[in-house]
Amino acid sequence: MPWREVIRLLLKRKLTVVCFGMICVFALIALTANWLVPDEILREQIGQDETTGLDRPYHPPGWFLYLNPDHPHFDKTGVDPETAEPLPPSSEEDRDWGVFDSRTWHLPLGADIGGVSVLARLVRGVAQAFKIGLIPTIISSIIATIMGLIAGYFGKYIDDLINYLISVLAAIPLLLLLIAFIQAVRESEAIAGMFESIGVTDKANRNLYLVLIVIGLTTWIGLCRLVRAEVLKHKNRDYVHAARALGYGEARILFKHILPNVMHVVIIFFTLSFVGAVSLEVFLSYVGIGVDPTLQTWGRVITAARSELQRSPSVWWPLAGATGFLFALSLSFSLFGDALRDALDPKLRT
Amino acid sequence: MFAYVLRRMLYMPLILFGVILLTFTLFYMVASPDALAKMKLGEKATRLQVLDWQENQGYITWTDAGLEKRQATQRMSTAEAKEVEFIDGTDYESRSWIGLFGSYVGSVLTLDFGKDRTDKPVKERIWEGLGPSLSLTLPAFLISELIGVFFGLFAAMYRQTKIDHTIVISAIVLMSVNGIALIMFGQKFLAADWAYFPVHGYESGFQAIRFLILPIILYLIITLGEKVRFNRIVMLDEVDQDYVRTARSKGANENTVLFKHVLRNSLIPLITRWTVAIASLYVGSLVLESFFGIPGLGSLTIDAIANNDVNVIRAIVVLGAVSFMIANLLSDVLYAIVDPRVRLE
Repeated sequence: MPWREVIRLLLKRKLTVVCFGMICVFALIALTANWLVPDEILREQIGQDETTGLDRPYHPPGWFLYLNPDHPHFDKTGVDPETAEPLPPSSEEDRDWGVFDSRTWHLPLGADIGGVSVLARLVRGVAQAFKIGLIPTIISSIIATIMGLIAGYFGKYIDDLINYLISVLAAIPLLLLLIAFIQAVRESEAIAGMFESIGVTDKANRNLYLVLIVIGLTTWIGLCRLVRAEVLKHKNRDYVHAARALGYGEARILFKHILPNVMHVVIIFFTLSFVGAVSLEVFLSYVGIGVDPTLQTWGRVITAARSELQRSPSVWWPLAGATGFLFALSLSFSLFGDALRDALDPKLRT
Repeated sequence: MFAYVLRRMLYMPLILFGVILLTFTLFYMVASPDALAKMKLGEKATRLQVLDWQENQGYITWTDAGLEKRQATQRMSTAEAKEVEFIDGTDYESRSWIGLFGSYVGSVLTLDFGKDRTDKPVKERIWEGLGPSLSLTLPAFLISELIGVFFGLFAAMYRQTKIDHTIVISAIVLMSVNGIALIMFGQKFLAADWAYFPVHGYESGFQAIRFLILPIILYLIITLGEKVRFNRIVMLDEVDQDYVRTARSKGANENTVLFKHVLRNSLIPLITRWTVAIASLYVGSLVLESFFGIPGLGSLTIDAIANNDVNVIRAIVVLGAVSFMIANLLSDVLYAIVDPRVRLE
């Protein structure tokens, strides 16, 4: 693989560079999320907001209040702590915040029912999203690469066996397979014990990791077929014969000679699978499998947003914020993946 | 041709066996019957309730002594009843794995999955859900495939131009919008706020159309991006082939080249995709159905997951696998019709 050529091709398009930059920013946020958003910000804050003086639960974004001075939220000013009487609504002139007023930029994505800043939740969600994207992808690409290499290279009954396994797994629609898997393993004591032995004792996290591992174990089929097909093309090339003539072992030929030549398929899969896993988490949270409500994932924010959206006045900001974050992450990964495919696939390189 | 199809058909029982083995392992062996019963009945369930459930599910059978003891227990007060011990071997007998496996294979082959939590046969519920599900997914699928093929072909025709780039980037942008969030916004604004469509509900017959339009539109938006992108790649593979150049040099006009040559040759990957998709159409669209209150198999599934209705989940998974295998066989037959080379293999 001419890596220098690939990098040159990637740098040629500005959009690709921008996407890569976005991915780096997201990765940086993921690494520092616990430091950026300390636990106390995520604690429920009921009562008056210190900056705007309005009731904290379901606090709209500051800029939204600035743009809509008639917003009903201005009536929600909380209760007097001494008399327990409701406070009068914000006065007419006080609703006209300037653009540069700190209140306009307070809570840029609003606050949800617990009075927790949506932005804070979503930033924590970035860290979870990387976990959710990476763990299944790493598991499935390792399984798929090894299985695909072995099936393609050794052929015969090993190939038949792996093909059979793939056919069986592929026969069950993925979502149903996931549901069946998760239903089965989440109540198993043996698996709970296994997790405890590696130090994951808390049930919410255990279930999340379980779901991620199950996603990894069930999504390797597509990549495995691709790797196998690539290996079939390569196994009778001259360089493989040369390596065999030199007396190299099968393992060395497979992993040192053939693997680098099929690696591009794996790399392309990686970006796509990452996005796939992150959006799968949203679905699983919605269906209610494996993603505990206490976890700070984007899927949880979106699921909780369903009832919030139906309130009057509508609480749209948690959903809009989460959708925006998800959109930015998937878009940059997909566009980057596309550019990567163009750069890595010699057939498309014209 | 006949031999080819026959060979494919002979492969099916093998796959079915694998699917049965895998699902049996998942459904019966990974989680213990006690854990399953607890999951279904809650942690506070009494020993008798657990055993009754297990008997109902076919895990155990009562012995005569056990039945007497059970009747006696039912006459006692709850506090007393808690003290009664049921002993494996004397009061009831656990069935062996082989026995369980046998009855599971039987239930799969006869497509009989017992009763759901409201004591209705699962078969009946699935039969009821099939109509609403298909009336949502079938038109939605057909329309989206048609549009998807059109744009894919269009992009491939104008490859490496502004038109192509615009189509690809819009497809990726569409793909990146989260489907569930889109449904929530669509339902909120188009149905609840602006009242173009009903928010929720379903009626059978022609009245259904009113309820199906918005879900179908949302289905189109959610799936279109991916389809366009896939079709474009498939067709790009074809437009550089020699036969296209030959057709052009023969003087065939661009439309003939595209629709007669390129489209036909890209049918193989498309058929694979379609059959896989058709097999999953029966499940309906899990999320869309539950959002819009369409009483199809999708909402049945989501409902079953929420209530731990094991029998329904088993039935849906197994039926999904069976219909997928049938669809796969169908696609193999279609390959043989579309591509003569396949028959010779």
